Amino acid sequence: MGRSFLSVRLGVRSLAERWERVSGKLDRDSREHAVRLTGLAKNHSSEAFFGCDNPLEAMVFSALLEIRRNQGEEDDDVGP
Amino acid sequence: MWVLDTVYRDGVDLWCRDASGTVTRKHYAYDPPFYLHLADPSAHHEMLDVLEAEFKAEPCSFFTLFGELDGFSVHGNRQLAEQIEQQTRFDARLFNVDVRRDQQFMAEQGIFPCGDDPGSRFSADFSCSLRRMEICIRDDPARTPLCTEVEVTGDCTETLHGPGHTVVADLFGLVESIDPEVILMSHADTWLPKFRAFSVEKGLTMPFSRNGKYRQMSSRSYWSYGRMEHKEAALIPDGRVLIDTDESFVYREGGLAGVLMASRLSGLSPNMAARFTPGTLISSYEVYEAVKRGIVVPFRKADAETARKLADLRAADRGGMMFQPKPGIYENVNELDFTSMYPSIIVRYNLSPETLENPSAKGFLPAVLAPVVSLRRETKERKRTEPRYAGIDTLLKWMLVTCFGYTGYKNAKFGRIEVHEAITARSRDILIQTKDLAESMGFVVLHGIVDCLWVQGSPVEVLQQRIGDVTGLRAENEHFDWIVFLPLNDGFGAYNRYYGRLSDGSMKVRGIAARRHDAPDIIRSMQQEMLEVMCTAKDTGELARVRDKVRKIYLAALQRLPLADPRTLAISRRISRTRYTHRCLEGAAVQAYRDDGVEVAPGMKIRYIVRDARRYQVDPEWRAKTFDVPYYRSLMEKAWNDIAYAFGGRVMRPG
Amino acid sequence: MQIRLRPGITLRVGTFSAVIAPEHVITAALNENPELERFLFLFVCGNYSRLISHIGRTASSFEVRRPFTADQLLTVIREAAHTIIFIEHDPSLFETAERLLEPVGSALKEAGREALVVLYAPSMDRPFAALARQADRLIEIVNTGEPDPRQRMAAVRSGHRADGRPQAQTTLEVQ
Repeated sequence: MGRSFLSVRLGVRSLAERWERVSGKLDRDSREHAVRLTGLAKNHSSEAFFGCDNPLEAMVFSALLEIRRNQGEEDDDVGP
Repeated sequence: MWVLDTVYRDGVDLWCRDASGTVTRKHYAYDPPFYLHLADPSAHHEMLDVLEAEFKAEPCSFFTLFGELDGFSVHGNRQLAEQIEQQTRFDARLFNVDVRRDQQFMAEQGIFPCGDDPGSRFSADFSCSLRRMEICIRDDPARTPLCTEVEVTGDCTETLHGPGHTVVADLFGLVESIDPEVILMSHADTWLPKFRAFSVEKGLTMPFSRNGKYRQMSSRSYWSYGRMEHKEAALIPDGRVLIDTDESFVYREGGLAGVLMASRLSGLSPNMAARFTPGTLISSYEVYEAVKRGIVVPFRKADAETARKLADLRAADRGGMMFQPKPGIYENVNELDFTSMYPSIIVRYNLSPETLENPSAKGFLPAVLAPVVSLRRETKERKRTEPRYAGIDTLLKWMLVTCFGYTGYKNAKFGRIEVHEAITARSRDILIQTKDLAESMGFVVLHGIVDCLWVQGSPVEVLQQRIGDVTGLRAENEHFDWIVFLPLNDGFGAYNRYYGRLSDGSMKVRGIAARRHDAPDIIRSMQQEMLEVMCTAKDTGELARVRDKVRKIYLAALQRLPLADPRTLAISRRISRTRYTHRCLEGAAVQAYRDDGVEVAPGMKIRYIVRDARRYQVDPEWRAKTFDVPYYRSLMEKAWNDIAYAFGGRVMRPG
Repeated sequence: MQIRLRPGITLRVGTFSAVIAPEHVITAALNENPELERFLFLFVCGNYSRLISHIGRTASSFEVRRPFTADQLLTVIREAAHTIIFIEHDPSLFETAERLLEPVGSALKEAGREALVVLYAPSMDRPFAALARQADRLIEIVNTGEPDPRQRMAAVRSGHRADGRPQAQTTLEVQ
């Protein structure tokens, strides 16, 4: 028996390709950030699939998590 | 009674072997009924009257997996059963219609092939000392009408060489004089029909069968684990085991011991066990066990999954858990691998079609899989020191791997999709639980796939113990001195592409050319040579020092490439179709085979050499004289890149 | 109770309709009709569903059942007690079970006496034609928005379908 639903993992791959295509159409300044954002969105999608129902949810979760982590590191850099 | 072969022909023929090696046929009259259940028998009273008068139908009750049913026993064949289905507008539920009768007979009698001690069926210690003969035919069966070059190994080795009719006649003579119990023959299922046509034409007796009779299996192509397979039509001799050493998956993976073990478990003759897939073997094993336990086997798979909310279904419809690795090279890594995870989950959590609604009942699947899981644990342990158990272990591994998939297979007699989903759900929980446990003990989790976790840290023995305590499942450990997780094209870690040095000094390799059967020999051997050198490095420091030596292997291979024998460049592919809508090398290869008069079918393996990749020009292996050097250079470069990554990636040490 | 496929094309309770239409027309009809939430809806698909990943229905009245054999499909239709029964046709179910085409067709017709029964396929095939023979009506909606050929080639190269979705995962089948 195969799977009935498109798996989150395959969906992420497809969406990420779409985001990469979109990134390529942006101006140079934004392009770099968009490519990085796509990378961040894929970072945790393999684990996120466990709890997330759809690929977009997994990618947004992953991207926000990484952004928060980066913010946290910046906060740490600033110090008390 | 040591049964070498079984056939159903107006009763059951058991070909039994005595202590002296003499094989004799014993015939048993046997005409078992099938069973019929009707929700409303009175609506079909006229049909029942006919069945009673003409097919000895009698009221009875029988046990299905889900409980007792009232119905009728009917003495008839499959055609009668199908007529009953039509007559009742498919209201009838039928059982034991398509169970192999020789298998059913043995299950009912409590006997099994290839063994004579009823208590020893689940033992790996059984004799394989059968009189055997190996027939190695050098000719290509797809392109030669009769073989002209044959090596026969029995008590001694003989080479037959000459015109086809002489060689085949001599081969027949050798089979007759050696009178083996087992014949291991290359492409046996392709050659035998040719031999039969030849023997009919020349008035010879083909000696493979002990009584001149052969069973016929038709050819077919089918999907298995996402790829198309092809099975040749086969002529199966009575009273002797004939194994196609090229086409038998079970023989290739498990050797003769694997075939005999498959036969003992499934209750099928070794001739059939050698020709079936592990999926068919596990289902046959379940059928044998059901009959032995007095459970009837459904003819049709009519019980559908229950209705569910979309969200519930979406939540259940998921595969195994994965943790993507960060590509790089890592030192001191432990790979924790749950032995036979899915079948162990079935057993431990009592997962079976009938226990979904009644969890307190003892499930059929757990009950029948438990002894196989235990046996696999034993053979996995014993093969470390005694290689003779390796074949049996591999066979059991495959049967247990497929037993999970089989729970979700559309035609599985004792499967149900909800069981399949429950197993994967448990497995995800277990892998996450294990990851949490490892991290709570200070380990770093690098990677995880379904039933395996790669961790850095210590003491791993304590972690193993805790995993066993918490999950109830056993995790084996393999220690890597160093391991390389390769990247995907997008830079993220690949799940199934890695290699590393185990602490016993061997290499474990997955997903790269050195291990891929479709890679050209020249590329595979280049990578293997590189890995052999890398294998001498006990840590990443030593690894860095062998870089130049490894690179020299690559440069030398590149240099030799234009002079290579084209046969070493053959690419193997198992084709999934024979018509292609767009131009591709595989499609060109299929056409090249056809142009040479070789018929191709989905699932067949083809081997071709690329003459001009840009123009999609390829040659079958036997015809190739030139090849596309830049194309093969690019394949070589890719293979080198996988290796070079070990010298360029960042080293991650524990702690 | 009715489903509106296109202006002027509606499906009503008490009928068995065979519908051939582009996938997006059907998913739109299923997703954008709030009235459907009020009725018991059974969505039936086989192993290779093109629609199910795109259905956004969350109402508890929306149920799914997946038969993987023609015998199971017959059971599902006979057991269905829903107001709307939507069957996404899967020709593979009948590959080795042509004997069940007529009884399944009859069961659909029978169910269509009480419910709104839809047998859907994106294109005609032989089993569909056999099942549709017993339908009250056959509706064919032609796709007017074929994807751009260049887009289709790009999809082939990237291993994706022309509509942008990845190709379906392969299914386990053992001999």
